[in-house]
Amino acid sequence: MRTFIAVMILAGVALNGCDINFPNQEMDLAGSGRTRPFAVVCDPAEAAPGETVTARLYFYEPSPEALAIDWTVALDYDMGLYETDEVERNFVEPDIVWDPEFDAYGFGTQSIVFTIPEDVLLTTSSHPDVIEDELILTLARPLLGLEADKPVPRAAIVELLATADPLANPDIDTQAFLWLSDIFACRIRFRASMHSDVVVDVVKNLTVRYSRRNMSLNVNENTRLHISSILAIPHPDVAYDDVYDFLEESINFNFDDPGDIRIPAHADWTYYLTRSLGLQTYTSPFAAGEEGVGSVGGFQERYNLNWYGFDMTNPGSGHPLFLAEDGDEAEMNDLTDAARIQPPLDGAERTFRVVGVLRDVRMEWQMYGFAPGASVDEAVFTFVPPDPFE
Amino acid sequence: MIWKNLWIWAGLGILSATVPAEASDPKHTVPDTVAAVTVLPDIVVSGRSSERETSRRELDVTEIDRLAGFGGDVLKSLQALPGVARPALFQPGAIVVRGSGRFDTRFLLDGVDIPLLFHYGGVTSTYDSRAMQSVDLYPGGYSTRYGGCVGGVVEIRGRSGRADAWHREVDVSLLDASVMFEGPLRDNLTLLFNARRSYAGEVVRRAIADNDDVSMVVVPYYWDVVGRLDWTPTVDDDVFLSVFAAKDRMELIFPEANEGSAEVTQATDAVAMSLAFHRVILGWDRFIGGSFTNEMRASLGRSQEKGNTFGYFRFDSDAPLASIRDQLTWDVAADVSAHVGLDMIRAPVRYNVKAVGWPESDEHDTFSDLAAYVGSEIKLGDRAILNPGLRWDHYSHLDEGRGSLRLSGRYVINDRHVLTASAGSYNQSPQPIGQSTDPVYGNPDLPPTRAMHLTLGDEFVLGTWTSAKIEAYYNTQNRIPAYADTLGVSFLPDAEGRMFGLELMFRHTRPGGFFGWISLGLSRSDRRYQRRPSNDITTWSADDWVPYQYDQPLHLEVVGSWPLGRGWSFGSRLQYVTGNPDTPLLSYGGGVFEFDADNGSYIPVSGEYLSDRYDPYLRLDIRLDRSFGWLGAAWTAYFDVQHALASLYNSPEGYVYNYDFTEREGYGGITLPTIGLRVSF
Repeated sequence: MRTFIAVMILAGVALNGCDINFPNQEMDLAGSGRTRPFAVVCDPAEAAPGETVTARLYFYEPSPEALAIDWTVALDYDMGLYETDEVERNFVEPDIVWDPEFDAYGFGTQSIVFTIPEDVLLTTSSHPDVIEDELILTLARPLLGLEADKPVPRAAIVELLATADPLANPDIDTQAFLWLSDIFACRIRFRASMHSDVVVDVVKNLTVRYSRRNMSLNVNENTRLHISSILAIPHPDVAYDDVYDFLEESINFNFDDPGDIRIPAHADWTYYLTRSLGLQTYTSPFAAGEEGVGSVGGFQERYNLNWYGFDMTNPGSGHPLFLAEDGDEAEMNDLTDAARIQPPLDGAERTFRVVGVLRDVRMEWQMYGFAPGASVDEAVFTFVPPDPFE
Repeated sequence: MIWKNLWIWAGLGILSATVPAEASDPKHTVPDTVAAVTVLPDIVVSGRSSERETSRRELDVTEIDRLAGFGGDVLKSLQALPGVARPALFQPGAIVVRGSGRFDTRFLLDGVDIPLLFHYGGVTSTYDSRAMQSVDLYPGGYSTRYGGCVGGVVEIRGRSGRADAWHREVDVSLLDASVMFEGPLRDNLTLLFNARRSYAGEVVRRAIADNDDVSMVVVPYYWDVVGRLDWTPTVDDDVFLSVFAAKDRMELIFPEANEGSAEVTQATDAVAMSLAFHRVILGWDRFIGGSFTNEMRASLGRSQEKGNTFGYFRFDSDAPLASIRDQLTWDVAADVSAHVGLDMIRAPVRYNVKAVGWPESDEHDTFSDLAAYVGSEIKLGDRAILNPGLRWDHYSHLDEGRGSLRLSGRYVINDRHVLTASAGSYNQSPQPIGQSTDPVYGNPDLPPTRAMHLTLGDEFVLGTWTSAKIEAYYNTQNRIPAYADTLGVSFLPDAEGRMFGLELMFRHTRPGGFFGWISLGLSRSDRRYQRRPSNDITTWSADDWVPYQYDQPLHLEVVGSWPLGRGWSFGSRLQYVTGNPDTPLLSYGGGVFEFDADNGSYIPVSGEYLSDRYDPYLRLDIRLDRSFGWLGAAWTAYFDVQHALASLYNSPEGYVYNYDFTEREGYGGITLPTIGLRVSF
């Protein structure tokens, strides 16, 4: 928000209400008392036509018995450049819808299984029947043996990508073939309609292309998130970049260690969640046709890391578990780089569950059907009153 | 979508290269304001043609200087005139006329287009008010002298330097400082020079010096320069040469940021913007002899823009342009005059744009509007006058031209009332220009947008110092470019518009006394789209008319300035405007939510498009001026308070919602006091 204010001052604009924010709400899964979805993870993260995908919905539901979830799949989904003329059609149902599963606290998951139709790239509105995209035309014409200016039917590209084998046919330009596999993509959309006392629709897109089948190096995989530990630093308001200065004094409560994690709750200590992230490197579609294309390493995936908390001892207690790095009340975007937490100081043991959701971002692929991969991890720990004799 | 509006920002330079120049008043003089309001315009065949426009609002610089709320900025006061919408908070410089689009109104300086009316989108006007003679607003129904736009026309008239003696002036405010000098070089040659630079950026940099979240590489600043030579070589010739240049520049670094993609720019931690333009204008008005007069404007200029918003969007454009315009007027007989005009502009534009995830657009294209027009003025007896006209605009970048046929007239009912009426067709290049016809981000096959204007009005005199005008209008637009994301092109020319309303303006000008006006606009502006204008709309019909985003059914302005004696004067401005349309969210109280699992955030679920409205907008500005003599110079100090009532009533400009759109709080402007000092010597 401070940055926002600075920009507005520069723009010569003065606002009444520029300090508006709603801290602590989004991360508190039980705070609203409503259905709270927080992730859908598809396995695999992208699929080729004919492949089977499992999509798992993660959510918190305060009244599991009242929840009903309906799933649909839109085989044609497109958003476009200006995001005004959204297409969502050709609806089908998943092949299998498993019953939702809940734990004792209302955390639930539900999985569906769906096999991508072989003809989805022939029916999507992402590509016309006669290709117009210059990049696709540049790659496809030589592979199809077509001269420049000759129209390129969509069906010819689909057949090429579905049947050709560059390893068996040395006449095929492998590099161009893989690029075409990556670029000739579309998205389908899963939609889970969660009905309880409110209606919450959850949407998740899936990239469909032949990259996996043709073994492209640009295949997007799900991220890997591991919540490693809680680092307790016996000093107040230590910035995340400075924690290494206090490592010898700090206590690292490692979630991989056996047994419960019990952390002394000090008012003047600083606590950070530590995590490891698994992300990929990739190349850009707009570099296709240039020297060096096809080699991985052009870009590191960006990411979006969301954190959620749940007071298992007293759900809905409203305890602001997360803090911004500077100790202010936090909003979600304060936690991407450093997730600082604070214990309740009421003198009682309090057990918390934290959930992290990591999504990858390949902005360069937006035009060519990118949908992010994701992963979910969680950890449970207990803040305990400090031992007065320590 | 982040770059949706950013291109509009970037497109200003392209705009500057494509709008045609217009002729301006040959004598570049302003009629006596008092006379203008106390005596009904004569039915004359010769004289300043702009005065014969049926819908015209003129602002006199000296009148505006002490009004509250405008900071002495004449152009800002345009927004207090009938037919001009109250701008939104984040687009303070928008001039939206009679419900037309933001880019449908042309800005002219002495007949030559300028790309930017305000620094930083609305901080202050790029052309210093003190170098202006007057500003005319033509909200609709204007003659064939003006073309290439379907909304209104704003024409600034620069003034010549004073011929009596040399004058110097220094003006210092919290925002900027300026110097100005003017005077005679010879008996028939005068010079006016004005230069201004902001320093608010330096103040902001000092303010954020301790802020780790942001740093300034280039302090935001603007400057503008006006120079004008006026030469009267003979009694039949008026010649002027003016130079006008302006620049806005800033670059902010956010050290913690790494946004967008390095494929767009390596400056993924920066927001940068540089916009500069200049115009060199040669004007020559000549009485040829007999019954012929000729007015000529030739202009050379350039607009350059460059910038980026992190790694999301970058733009770089360079638009040199040349224009020439010549109008020959022939007084055929006592009751008939005719004129013929050529209006040519050519702009070989080069621009490069890239949005993250989308291809680069690197274009070299010549935008031009080759226009010709003819018109006549026919006096019918002692009471009526007709102005028929025909104009043809050929847009070479569209490879298409359109004709416009217009007719206006005035009829003197009695010594207090003049009836005015007009009907005409209009057209313009598709807007936002450049973006809408771009091969990657637009549709190169768009045709010109078309419009029709109808007006009917009555100008009447209420007293020695008071005049009024009431005018009704009905305008339509078609072939408006609208987003069409998934149809193989990004724009299609299939939106329509209709606007109608009634405008009333009372104006009182007493020499040495009260000056002010009451402006009342009752209006409606609708659009009809073939596709959803936003993807989050759940209910939609292509047959329905929906409000335009600037639809403001009631707009009331009460503006005045009172001399208090002993050099003191007091000004105030009261503004009441219907709240802008807003689309209600079903998540806000409706129990309907959507969670985007690809981003991990909730999506607003919208109800019926623009079916709700913000609360009314109420604003009071006050200003106190004190003029005095000291050290042989004339001093003026002023204290100006904008939004004086903000603490009592917060006119909402928008809402900030929580994460799932179940809670919201409104935001708006704050009380903003400013002080300034001006010295003339």
